[in-house]
Amino acid sequence: MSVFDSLHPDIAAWCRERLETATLPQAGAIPAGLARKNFLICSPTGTGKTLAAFLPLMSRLADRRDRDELYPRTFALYISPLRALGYDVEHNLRGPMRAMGLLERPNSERAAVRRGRIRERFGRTGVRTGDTPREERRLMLSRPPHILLTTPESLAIMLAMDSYRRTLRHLETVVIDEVHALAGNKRGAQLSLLLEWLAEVVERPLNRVGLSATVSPLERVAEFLVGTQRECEIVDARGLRSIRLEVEAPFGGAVAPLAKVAQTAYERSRDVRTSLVFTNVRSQAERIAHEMSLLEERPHDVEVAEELQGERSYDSRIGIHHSALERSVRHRVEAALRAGKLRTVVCSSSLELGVDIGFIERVLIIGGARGMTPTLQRVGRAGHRPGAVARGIIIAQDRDDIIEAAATKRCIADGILEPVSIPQAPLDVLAQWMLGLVCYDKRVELAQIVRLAQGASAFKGLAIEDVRRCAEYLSGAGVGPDEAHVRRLGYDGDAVYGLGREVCAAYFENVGTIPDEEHVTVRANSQPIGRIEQGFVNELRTGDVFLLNGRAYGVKEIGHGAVTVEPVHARPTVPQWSSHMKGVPAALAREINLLRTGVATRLLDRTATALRWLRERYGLEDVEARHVARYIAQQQAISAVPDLARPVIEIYRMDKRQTAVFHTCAGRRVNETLARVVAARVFDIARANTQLTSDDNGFLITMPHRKTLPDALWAGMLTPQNFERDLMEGLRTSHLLRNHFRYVANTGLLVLRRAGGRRLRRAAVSWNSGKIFERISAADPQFPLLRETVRTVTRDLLDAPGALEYLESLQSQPRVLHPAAASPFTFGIVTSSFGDSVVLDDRTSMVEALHERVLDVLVEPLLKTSAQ
Amino acid sequence: MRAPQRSATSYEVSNGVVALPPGILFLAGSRTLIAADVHFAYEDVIGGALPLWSTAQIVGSLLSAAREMQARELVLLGDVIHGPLMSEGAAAKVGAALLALREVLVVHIIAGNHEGPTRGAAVLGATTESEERAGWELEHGDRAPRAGVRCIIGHLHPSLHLGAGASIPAFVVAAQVIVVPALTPYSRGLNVCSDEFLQALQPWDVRTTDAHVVAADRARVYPFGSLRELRRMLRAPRRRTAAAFHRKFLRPDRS
Repeated sequence: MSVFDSLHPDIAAWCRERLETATLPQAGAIPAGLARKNFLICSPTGTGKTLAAFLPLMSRLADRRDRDELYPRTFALYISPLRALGYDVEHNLRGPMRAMGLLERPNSERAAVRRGRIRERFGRTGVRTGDTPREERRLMLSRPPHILLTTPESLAIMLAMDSYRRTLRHLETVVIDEVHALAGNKRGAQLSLLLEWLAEVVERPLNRVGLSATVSPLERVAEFLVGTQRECEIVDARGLRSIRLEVEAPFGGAVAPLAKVAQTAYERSRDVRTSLVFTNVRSQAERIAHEMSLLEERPHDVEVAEELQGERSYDSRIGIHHSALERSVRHRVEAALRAGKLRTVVCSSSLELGVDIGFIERVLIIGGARGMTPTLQRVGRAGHRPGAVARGIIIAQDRDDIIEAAATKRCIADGILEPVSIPQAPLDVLAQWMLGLVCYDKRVELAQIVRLAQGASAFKGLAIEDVRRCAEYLSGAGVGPDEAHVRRLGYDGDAVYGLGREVCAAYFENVGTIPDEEHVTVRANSQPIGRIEQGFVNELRTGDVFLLNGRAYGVKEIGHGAVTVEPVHARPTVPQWSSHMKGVPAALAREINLLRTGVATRLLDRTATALRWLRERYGLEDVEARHVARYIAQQQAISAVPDLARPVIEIYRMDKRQTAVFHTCAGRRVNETLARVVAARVFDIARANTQLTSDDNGFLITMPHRKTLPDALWAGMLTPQNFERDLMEGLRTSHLLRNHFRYVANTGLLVLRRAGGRRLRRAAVSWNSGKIFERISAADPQFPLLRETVRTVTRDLLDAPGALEYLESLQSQPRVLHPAAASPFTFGIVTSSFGDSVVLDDRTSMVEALHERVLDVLVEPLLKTSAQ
Repeated sequence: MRAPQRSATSYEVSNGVVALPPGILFLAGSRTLIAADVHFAYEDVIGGALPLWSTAQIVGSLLSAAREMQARELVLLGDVIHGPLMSEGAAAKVGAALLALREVLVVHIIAGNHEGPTRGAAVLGATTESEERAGWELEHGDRAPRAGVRCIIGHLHPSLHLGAGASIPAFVVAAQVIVVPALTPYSRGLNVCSDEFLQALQPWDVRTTDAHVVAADRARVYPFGSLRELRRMLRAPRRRTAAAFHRKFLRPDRS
């Protein structure tokens, strides 16, 4: 007997005809769904998990129809982190629902239903997001769709409004898609509170369904989904699809020039029908797409001319997709890819989530995805259908990339994924939610708030005192002894209450936790072509050339809120507008460390032993394995290979300043935390303000002119004693807390992003938040949003617990060395200090020059000796 | 052309006109303090759930300057409030702030663009469009000047940008106009070295060779000399404190 047989006969018939057999997620989810259990499906993209969640819903809808109980009520709610995903899912549901006879058709019946004369005979779906027109929203209220698709922010608005809340009373099931993209951030924390609120609103126990791509640990994600008081069944289908991951290093020396990387990507994408090229930053996506389009036969300027005349021609068959491009441009690219008009799309992480882009034959990842989960997510976009093998190639740009790719492969094979870390009790999210609870004039006891919030896994440790402090602040008790006159709600010591529609406008205008960046529209021939950050625009001058949408544009005019450009045939003269480079997680850093030390140990025996080990354990091809062996041999010859138990500190003189490079190899977040602790300790000892740079493999501290520290003091820097104090001291003098306070103040509604129907200028909000941060730090260090800023920075941005654990795990003092020239492992860290102010090509040539110097001076003779 | 000078607690920018920290002007003849763009109740008007810190801080600065200079009156050069719509509590606080000033000084309020069409009457009471002292026309600066009239204005929020997001208020002084910086701590200000600032100054027909700049922090004023020279030398300002910045700028003179 098939699992489909348990569904309504119409649905079962459709499943048998169209799906033949149930996939593993469907086999697990359908019985759980029909039994109204909470469940989490974790499986790779393309394994039918969305349908698995909806089939039991459709079956129940059909049952209702048969019983003549299909009232105009919302029975199921689907929440996704992306608006586009909601529209996609609705679009994809319509086909099956129509085929099952579930979707309404005749217009004549609609009017009758609206007049309440007959029960409905067909199901209806609707999407409610920030983009939904007012008229459609109004219709949704008078005649709620049976399945409503929305986002966490829209749910927050609906729950706070009586009219919408009434339509949600009969809800039976809530489906949360892409749970993995929500669980680890404040958006997820907000959603978990909203789900607890929703559970209070509905008349019967809510059935919660979660859909997640490969993620770990599942128990933690399940608790995020259902809260602390409910059971959750887990449908674990993580190993369902085969993944084939290859590594390719298109260079002979130490790094690959960007043109060579683009050429390799071009060649690897030419022999397949469709491919995606993932990059880590948007600027890189632009550069790669630009270089790739130059390799196409069609002349570039013809294409530009066509684009500006109207609809873009896709003859080049290479598209670009990232979040800075206009939504319409992105939609066109997605549609063209689906329709097979585009062969390759170069993207940032914008196509990582499950927006429907059709069948992708191959995925190329430039540099590496910085982690196992994003790698699986990206490669999983290939062969997007059950049973198909997902093929991915990582194109390494330097030797660190090869090591990272090899370690990622090994971790994936061993089932090691970076664990999801759920933010613990973010008070800014709590404050915002509390205001939503009382809109417009409700009264809610503090004890009830605590009970509700503690039901959400992100808030299980919430203390009543924190709720009390938030209530005081929102009610205008202000900061420290001072009183604020703007009150978000009323508070009488036991309960909070709403202060009416006007006051609650702050909630509706500022709901959500997504940081608000100010963007400027880029226009060519009066048409908007994209949006770039204000910070980048500040650096632009008329005549500059930069890349957008894979093309070079010259700046004609810089105005308020818009930059006018014209297409030019020239090389870019300014660096790109943004860099949000992700760091390597600690779990991957551990494997990287293992690889490095493993190769170093085997090199002491014979090079061939190391090469064999790299092939066997990491599946590296000969060329890539030789690159790695050579890289580590060079490091060994010039300095030493650090290991987790005993790091290496290299001391140099750079630009007449003492520079200490800490090879801690503990992952980006831990390294950044350690860097700040060490900087505070250096200041404490030498009264010297240092410059910091950190990356995945370590961090670098540059002393001021004429200040130096002896080796013994450097060696004593990595100690767990007074860690907390030194970290706070390191943060106090940096901009990190102050900069981040802005976002916390926005989410916690202390400083608004939008007021009176208009958006406040980000520059003004940012400046104000800096001033306010200073005042609050002085007036009330225990102010809830200030404590939340410290928590966010030390736990979410940095990794204070991880850094402390690292320091405690060190078995002996680090080795302090004075290499005669910069060691190969230092290259990456040093070039990080150049920052993004250097155009990529220049940065490459600087590294090449540094590398050549090292080779000439020291390493080649030693390497020859070791090979003999 | 004025040369840069060492920092001081006050500096005579023009005959009988003295610049004081943290951005207040003093007319010695009439013993008049002039302050611009105080934007009282800023925190409240922007919808922030915050105490009115800036109002209290500004009143403190003005009272302290009044004591120091034995001033007789105060002219507020417009944008006295950030907006006419504010909470009752904030309006009462602004009223109390003005009362505290009026206990020591005669206060004249010139209306600015932030006072709106009502000229902030509900909160500020009577206001004027301009005042005249010692041959200077005191205005907000949001309207074109009359020909041949010497003006002291606010409105433009002149400041010196020190790099890394830091800035300090700055007076810009020319023969026909003196621009007083904003006293509100919430304004980063318009960089006096920027083209945008020169464009804003165009109605007063100021030439960069004629104008000079005096920056002010909480305790001292820093005469930087000619605006033209300053623009030439500060293409990439790096120093973050006013004192360090000023020291660097003075170095050529010392040598």
